[in-house]
Amino acid sequence: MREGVDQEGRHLYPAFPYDHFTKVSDADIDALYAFIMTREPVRQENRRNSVPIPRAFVGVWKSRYFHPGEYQAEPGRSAQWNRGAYLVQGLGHCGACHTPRNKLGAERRDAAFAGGEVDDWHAPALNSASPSPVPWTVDTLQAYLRHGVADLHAVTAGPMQEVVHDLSQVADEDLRAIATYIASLDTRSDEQRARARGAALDRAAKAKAMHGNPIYDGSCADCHNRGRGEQGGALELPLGTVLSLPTPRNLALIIREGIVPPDGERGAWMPAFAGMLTDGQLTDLLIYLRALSGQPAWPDVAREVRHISRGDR
Amino acid sequence: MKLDVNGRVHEVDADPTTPLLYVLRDGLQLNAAKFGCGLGQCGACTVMADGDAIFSCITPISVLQGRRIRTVEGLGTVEKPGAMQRAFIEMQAAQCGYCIPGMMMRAQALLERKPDASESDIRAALQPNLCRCGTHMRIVRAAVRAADLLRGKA
Repeated sequence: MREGVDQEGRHLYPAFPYDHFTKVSDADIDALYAFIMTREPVRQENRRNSVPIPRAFVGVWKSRYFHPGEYQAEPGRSAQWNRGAYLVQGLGHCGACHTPRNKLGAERRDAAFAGGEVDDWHAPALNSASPSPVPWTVDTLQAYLRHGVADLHAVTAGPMQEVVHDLSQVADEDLRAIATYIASLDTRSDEQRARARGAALDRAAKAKAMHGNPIYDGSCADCHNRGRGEQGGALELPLGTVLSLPTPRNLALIIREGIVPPDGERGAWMPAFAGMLTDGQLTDLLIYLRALSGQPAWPDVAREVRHISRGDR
Repeated sequence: MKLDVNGRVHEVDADPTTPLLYVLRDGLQLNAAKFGCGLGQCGACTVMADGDAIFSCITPISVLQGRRIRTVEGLGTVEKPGAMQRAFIEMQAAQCGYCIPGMMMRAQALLERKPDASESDIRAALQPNLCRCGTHMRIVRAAVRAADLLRGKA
């Protein structure tokens, strides 16, 4: 956890996020150890190492990109903020997805929380570059991390769904601390944030009155024009963070595969449209939806759709 | 516009945003697919388009130009029920019956794509379709039976 080495002292590949876990306190590592040692042991042969990168190289990588050491509280900040920073940078390892990586797979320290990639999904920026049309607040972040739904922003989908599921066990004070720290990453002034909020709500109101795309009107409008406040209603799409991301991939994945709670769990739900829309129709819909966000058009939407639907019949 | 339903091409005069379900039921008198929630959340309206199961209540007809639509009416007739229909009758899978056409079409789409689908494949595929009577065990058995019949096992 601290040094990124195994019992024999060999370097571990940083797929195990020890670059974050190094910040965890001794007390918490002790607690984790105590818990894990109460689990029933199983016999499981380790898989052969098939990573095409020699371990010796990991040592070089670590000397450049790995910064060991426990989290040090920032004296000018509140205890709550420091608790949040400790959880986010350490065990939470939020930056593993939300921070972009360089060519050698290390998180870019000069672009912390500026938005990254995970599997086929884009993990949105959490700093001032946050794509959410309505800026997040401590309260809305806390509600989102607790319930997976934020009325004016998003519903969790993709890998974030799992994160919110796991956070369901986390105490309210810790969730509040996480939300406090993450909200502080957006350093825009109150005035700038209020202006962004006003513009977004205005755009959403105007979009509702708009007609003219038969796919949107026939497939999306029934739920999405109602807004989250009403029964059977869903997020008004111009407010959706997903429309303002730098790539159409998340939106394409959500439309194709829907939003389905993990097996046996309750959760938000949206039907999958994979069989209903051809790649061309999905492309048209994505282009139309992007225009609702007021952002410049996405480049080469058709190529992204082909990438997502690859492997389909 | 023209709609190909169960191998017959129909001339349809309706707004392009009209859900396929309304055209099937009100225009073409094909009443197998049912209106449940109107939001794509219950599956009672499920039909097939080019082999995929789709919710006809949230599918505007404009996206279906040139695609082959199939409903339960296309699986067989009262006199000559198809394999899927025979399986559901054999297993007495219907309670109130409202969800059954959607269940049949989603199972049909799966079995045409994957004739050797296992019971767990069937359970996973039918997940979007709800049955409020709780007849799921018989529905799953009927779909398993249909897989046998479609593979030619008596």
